[in-house]
Amino acid sequence: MAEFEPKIIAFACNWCTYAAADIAGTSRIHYPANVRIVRVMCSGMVDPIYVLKAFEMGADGVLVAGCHGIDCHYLNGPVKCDAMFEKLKRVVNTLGLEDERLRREMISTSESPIFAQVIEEMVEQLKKVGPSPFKVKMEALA
Amino acid sequence: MNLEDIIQETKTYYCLECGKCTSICPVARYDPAFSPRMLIENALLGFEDELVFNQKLFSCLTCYTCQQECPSDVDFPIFVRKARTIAQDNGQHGVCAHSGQLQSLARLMTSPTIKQKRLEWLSKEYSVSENSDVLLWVGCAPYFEPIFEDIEFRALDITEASLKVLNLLGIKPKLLTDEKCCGHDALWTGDIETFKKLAEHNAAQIKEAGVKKIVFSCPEGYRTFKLDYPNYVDLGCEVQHISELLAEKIGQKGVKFKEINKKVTYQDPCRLGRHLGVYDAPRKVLESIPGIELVEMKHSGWESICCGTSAWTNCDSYSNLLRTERLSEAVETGAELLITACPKCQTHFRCAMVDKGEEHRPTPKIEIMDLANLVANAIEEGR
Amino acid sequence: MSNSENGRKSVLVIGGGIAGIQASLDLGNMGFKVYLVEKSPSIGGRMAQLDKTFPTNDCAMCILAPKMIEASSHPNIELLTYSEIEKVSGEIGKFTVKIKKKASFVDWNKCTGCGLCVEGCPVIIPNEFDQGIGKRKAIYMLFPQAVPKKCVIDKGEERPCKAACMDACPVHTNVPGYIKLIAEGQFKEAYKLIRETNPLPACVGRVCYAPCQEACNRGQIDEPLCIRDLKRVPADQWNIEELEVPVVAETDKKVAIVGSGPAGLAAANDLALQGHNVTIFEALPEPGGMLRVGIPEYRLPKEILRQEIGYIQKLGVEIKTGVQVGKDITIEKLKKDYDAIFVAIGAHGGMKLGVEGEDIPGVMEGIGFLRATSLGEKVDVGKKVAVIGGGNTAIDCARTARRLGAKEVTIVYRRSRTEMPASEEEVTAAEKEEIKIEFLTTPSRFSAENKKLAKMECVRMKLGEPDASGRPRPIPIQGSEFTIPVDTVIAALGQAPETDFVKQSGVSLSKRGTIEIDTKTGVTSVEGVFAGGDVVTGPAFVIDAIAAGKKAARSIHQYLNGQPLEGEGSVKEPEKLSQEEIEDCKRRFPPRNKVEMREGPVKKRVQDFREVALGYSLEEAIEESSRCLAGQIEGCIECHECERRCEPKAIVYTMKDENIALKVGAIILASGLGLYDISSITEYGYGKIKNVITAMEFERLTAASGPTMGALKRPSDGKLPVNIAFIQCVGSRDFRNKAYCSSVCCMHATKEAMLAFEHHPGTKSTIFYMDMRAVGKRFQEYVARAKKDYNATYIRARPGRIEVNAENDNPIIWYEETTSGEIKSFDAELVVLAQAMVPQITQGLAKILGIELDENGFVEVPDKLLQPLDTTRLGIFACGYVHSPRDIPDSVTQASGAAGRAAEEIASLHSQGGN
Repeated sequence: MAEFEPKIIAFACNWCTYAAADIAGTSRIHYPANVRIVRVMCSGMVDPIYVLKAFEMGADGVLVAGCHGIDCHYLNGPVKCDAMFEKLKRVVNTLGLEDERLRREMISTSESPIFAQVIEEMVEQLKKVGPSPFKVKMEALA
Repeated sequence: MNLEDIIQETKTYYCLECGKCTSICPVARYDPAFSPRMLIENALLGFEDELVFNQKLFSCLTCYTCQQECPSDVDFPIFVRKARTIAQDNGQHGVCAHSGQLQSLARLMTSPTIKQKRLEWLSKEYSVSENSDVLLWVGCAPYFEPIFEDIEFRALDITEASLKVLNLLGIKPKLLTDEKCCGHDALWTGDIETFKKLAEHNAAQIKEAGVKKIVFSCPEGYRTFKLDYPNYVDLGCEVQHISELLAEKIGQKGVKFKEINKKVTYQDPCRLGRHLGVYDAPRKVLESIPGIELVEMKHSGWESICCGTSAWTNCDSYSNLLRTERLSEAVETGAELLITACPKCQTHFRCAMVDKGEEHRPTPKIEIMDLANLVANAIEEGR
Repeated sequence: MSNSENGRKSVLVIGGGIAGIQASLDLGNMGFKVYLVEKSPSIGGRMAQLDKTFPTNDCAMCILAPKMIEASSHPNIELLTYSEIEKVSGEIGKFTVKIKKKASFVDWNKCTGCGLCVEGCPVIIPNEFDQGIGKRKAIYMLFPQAVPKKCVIDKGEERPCKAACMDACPVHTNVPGYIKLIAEGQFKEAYKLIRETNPLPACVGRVCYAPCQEACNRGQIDEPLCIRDLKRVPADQWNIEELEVPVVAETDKKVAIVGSGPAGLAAANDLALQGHNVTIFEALPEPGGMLRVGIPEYRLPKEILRQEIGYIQKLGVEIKTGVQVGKDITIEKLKKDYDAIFVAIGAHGGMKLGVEGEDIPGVMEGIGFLRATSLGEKVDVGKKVAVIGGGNTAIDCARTARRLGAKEVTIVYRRSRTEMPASEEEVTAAEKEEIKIEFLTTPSRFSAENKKLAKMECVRMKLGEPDASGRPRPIPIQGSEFTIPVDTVIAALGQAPETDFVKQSGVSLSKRGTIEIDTKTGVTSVEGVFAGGDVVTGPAFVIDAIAAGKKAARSIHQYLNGQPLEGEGSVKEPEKLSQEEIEDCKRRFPPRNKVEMREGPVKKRVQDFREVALGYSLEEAIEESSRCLAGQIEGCIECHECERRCEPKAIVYTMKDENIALKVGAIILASGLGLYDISSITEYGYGKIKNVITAMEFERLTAASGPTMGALKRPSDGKLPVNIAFIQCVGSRDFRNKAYCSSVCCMHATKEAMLAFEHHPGTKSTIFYMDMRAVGKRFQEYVARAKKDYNATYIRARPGRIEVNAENDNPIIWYEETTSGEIKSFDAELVVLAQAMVPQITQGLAKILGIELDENGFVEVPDKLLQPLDTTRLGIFACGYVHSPRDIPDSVTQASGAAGRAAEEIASLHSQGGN
């Protein structure tokens, strides 16, 4: 049986985290290929529907990452993102989503090793937790 | 299912194009592009695309005001519901409010292997029992709590109040740990696949629980279980709204109420009123509480005006105008309190009353409370 | 062809509308005998209710009436109106039909349709012919052009009481009648009605002893009606001096009446109304008799009496006051100058006490005392007054003395309260005015001091065995003497007639001095000389005197015409309700206490002679009059007013339903259309919103014979509606009510829009339609004309709701204009709803006829294509609206078709031979 390779969707803000991921690439810092990065202009623009849609489409884990609090290019993005994330976490918890599947991070441009580390951690955890329960849909009634 | 089939099934061909429906439709009153008559006319003339790709197809509130007066007895809401299935097949789903989170949640719930944590809120204050004959349906309340925090609406307040009321009436209901969304919104927006999956799951849960009656505090869940589920699954038990249960018990058990001196008015939810014909039970409950003075709004009973949004779809400025009109009617009665019997109505009214910085168009404000909460406050302890 | 043998060549037509009339005429002209049965009193049907007909806008009645007349005078057609079908048996060629002819309570063989009865009827009820907008009476003719032109009485329910009041009243005044008129606010009519039997309503309404009240059947349930107090209401609420004087043909007969009291006035009134020349001779300076000089001002204001006597004078009666017959002019002279004499001088002689000291100044006789006071003469009344006697006169004297300044007034009566003849009300009033009553006391002696009356010695009495009058005889108690200080004594012991002057003329007197008469006719022992009132009976009541005067007038009239004198017929005793009837009334009518007559406050009223009884206010009058049991029913109250007025004597209260059996060969059903009740269509607010009416109501408004005589006024406030909206398909083409199309409404709304414009050229009519169904000959052109010349606009929409404009009560219509998709509101002043029409046949009648109806109640037709007028029973044919929705031309066409079918079937049976 092939080993389960979790699929992670990362929403990375253009100015910080996306740049960090980019630099990790150019610096040849390895991080697992399980992640697909979606560049957003700011973590504050991440709407819960993106995360939910990602799970609907089969993601095993989702990362929402952006600048640190005071560094945001648009000033208060991270604040908005935190507020959104707090509520979203409660919603998906109620859904029974395992904690490991949805993660929030603040990663600045210069912190590419941290980015790689986060991805490594997530992949390891998700391998243990297994495929997302949302992958398997119920059979419709005949 | 194609359009021809829908016309045949719903007997829409009887439509006389008289326009009576549109003249009393709450949406048509504000949205000049929405006309129930035009939607049917397009269908009857075979203009399927004009119907299916019309964004306005999803603006119908399915509130049933039109059908109360239609001389040809056309069931317009069901016609719309079925037309929306064709729309969904064509990738149309209207404009989803709250960026589609609520619709997405319903779809996510169809996964058979999730393990929900729906009862974290349940405290020792309330008594439940595994062996009860009566099930209290909790519904989407645990999910609404985080989503609607900003408008200061905690749907679980209604659930807790319902539990408290049941306890005080001597009922320790069962609560399911793995309830899923009743599927009302999916059904009414034409997402039959999601609806069927949810229905099957819930029916199996109910069968396993072996209860004789399910009590609802949400009229949408109540309507769905009562009228829609039987077309797809077999429930094998009775369903009832909490206002009906209260109306029964108040007569029988000599329930004692504290005096609450308030002038109140009552919003008939579309699903409880026009869909199911339950107008008297909530009023009987209100009138049994000493000190409560019930004043009716200008349009009450079967003429009640819908709260403005259905199935979290096509919620727009016209919906807001409609809500404002209804809140004005409530304020005009001079009542201190607007009593609702539906968490959706309460959500939408509260949203309207949140100050959106429109000084030029202030929304009339009134305190809102669910019937269950009012009763929970009023029942005397230790009977 | 002659009339049927065994009925085979005759046809029964059910329904007297235009279809039934047409079928009858066709068959009658073919030689068949036709029985035209109609439920209502007249034929004509719905067409009689219409103002005009489309598409010609001809007057409906102008077209209908000749047909109705033709049908009624056709030798082969027999009209059976006010009749219903009870049973149909047999088969084609040999049907037996049982018909119930409802009791109309009017003998149609005698009724001439003059309508006098309708004028007099006091009961006013909503008129179904006018769709409830207009009113009719309990006796009525369906419409002015009714065929047959006869009245019917709507008996409705049985009157819950026995009208014992009318029987108890000496003149049999129409009490339920005038009370009903008062309850309806018809004061002039009430006054006129009372005057038919009583020429002094306002006076009698103050002083009558009201035997009617004692007999009142309501008194067996809670409290009797205050009939007397109600009697004065019309005069209180309306100016009686506006009463018109009728024009009466004068005779050459002259009548002399001696005495202008109630008896004389009543006789004078009746004789003058019959055209005779009447002169009253009155000894006193003022007319009125005891009404003027016996009853004090505070009970009967002289102004009221003057007004009512004034009317009698307006009738041509001359009153010569200050002329005493027997002194100033002899009876012999009267006999020479006049053709008849009526002696009604009353009983004005006082009676002496027969007690020592009664000649002392200060002791006066009661009748004289009251007379002097009434005529404004000076009377010396001291401070301590004693009145001897126990009748109403004694009370009058006591209360008058109080008003003339007496500080202490005591009534001294020799028997006890129970035997006291004075009325309860008078005694109570006196006691309120602080008048003491010493019962079982009699004066034995008066004594003076300083030549003035100072003391009255009295002795107590006890009651012994009954004496000649039937009352216990008072016996003085030995040793019970006591003294009362008095300065004035008024003896009110009774009245005696002063009849010496008639003795010479040969008129016989009784031992008591009263004139003897034949009680049935009022004639004395001398031909041509009549007498009545107190002079015959001794002191009695005003109403008795009036009755006597009327009786004498009747006899005098007969005498003057050379007819034999016939008295009144037998008198009916007042009936009481049985226990069962009492229980039934208690169940149906909630208990209501009488409305007490308000009186002036005691302290103020004794200071002068102002009227004590204040009279009912308008609200009190209506409240009290609405207690009357007879008036509780909506229908005939059996007051007999119509009977009184009917000259051919056609009223028959005891009429019963008649059962008729007919043999006919075929039956044609043409029972027409009914109007669907649209109050269940709550979105249009019919019945709740004021200015929303039905199409038939509008039709009656524009009709010249309708409740507004053709003036276009909206029923709520009489205003002219300029902006009229018509809403079509109300109840029709509606799955929740009637799914079918009623066929005629599109055209009649167009017609009504045109009529509105004709009545008032500024009118704008807007018709809200779904389709315009104009399928007949020239119908589409008619619609086009309405748009072109009559300011009618057509909007394609079916409104969803009617709301009310709070400022002016006008209706606001909400609709979607289907041509543009816009939702709009429309302000109208009057909204006319085209109500659905339904076949006018009950399941009951269908069963009787043995025919089937379809799911909408129309007659089921087995072969719609080739035999469209045949029902499911052979021999019975249907035509007109009961068959299917259609207009007048189509109904008439079908009627001729049905006549053809019936004739064909009957003719073919006949030609097949057999008996």
